[in-house]
Amino acid sequence: MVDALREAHRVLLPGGAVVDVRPLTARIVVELVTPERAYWAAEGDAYGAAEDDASADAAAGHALSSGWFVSARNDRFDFEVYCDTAADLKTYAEMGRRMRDSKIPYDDLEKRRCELSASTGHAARLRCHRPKMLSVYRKPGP
Amino acid sequence: MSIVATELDPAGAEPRAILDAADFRDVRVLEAGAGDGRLTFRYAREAKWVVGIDSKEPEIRSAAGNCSSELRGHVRFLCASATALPFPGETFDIVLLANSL
Repeated sequence: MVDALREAHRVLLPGGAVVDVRPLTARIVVELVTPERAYWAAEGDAYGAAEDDASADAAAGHALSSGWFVSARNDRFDFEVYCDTAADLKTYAEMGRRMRDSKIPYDDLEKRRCELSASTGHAARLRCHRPKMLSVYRKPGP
Repeated sequence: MSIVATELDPAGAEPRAILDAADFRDVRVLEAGAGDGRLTFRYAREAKWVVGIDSKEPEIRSAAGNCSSELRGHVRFLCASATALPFPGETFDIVLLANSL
C-alpha cells in the first residue's frame, strides 16, 4: 500500500492530487423499498477487511508524514446497492471479503420482502447502504 | 419492472463525490483499480484523458470491451499493478485509487 502511494507520488505532477475512495469498516443498513417508501429491515457487519483498512490508513499516514502529500479533504458518502431479492444481496455480499460474514438474516429478509410485495402490489426491493470515505491528498507543488 | 437484479449506486453518489472532490476538467487521470470500468465511464467525459489500470486482466478486457465509442478516444485500459506503474514521472494531474489502497 505504501508502494502504491509512492508510485502515485512519482507519476503525479506537482500540485496534483490522489483521490482515495474506499468502503468504511462500518455497520451496513438494509431497507425494503417500494416506489412509495422505504422500511428499515436489517443491519449487518462490513468488518471483513478491517485489517486491510488499518493497513491502508497506516500507508496514508506514512505518505503524509513523509511529506509526499498533504491532506486536502475527507468526505463520507453513502453508496447504495439495490437488489431484487435477498438471494441477490447475498450473492453481492459474498463477492468480497468485507461483507461475507455480515450476519444479514437473508431468509427473514426475503420473507418480509415477499410479504411487502404482496401487501402493496409492488415488487419490493432491498437497498443496502454502504458508507464510503473519500480522501484527497495533494502533492506539494507550485 | 427492474431489468437488473443488482444495481450499484444508481443515484451516482460515488462519481458525484469524486467530481466534487477535485477539478477533473481537462486533466490527465490515472485510475488504479479500474476493474470493469464501471466507475471510469461515469466521470471520464470530464477529463482530458483517462488511463484505467487493474491487475486483473479479465476485468480490464471487459472494461475495454464496454467502453463506448464516445469515450474510446480518450480512455485507455491497461493491465498493470499500482505498485509498479508503467508511466514516466509527473504524467498525471489526478491519481484515483478506486477501492485499491
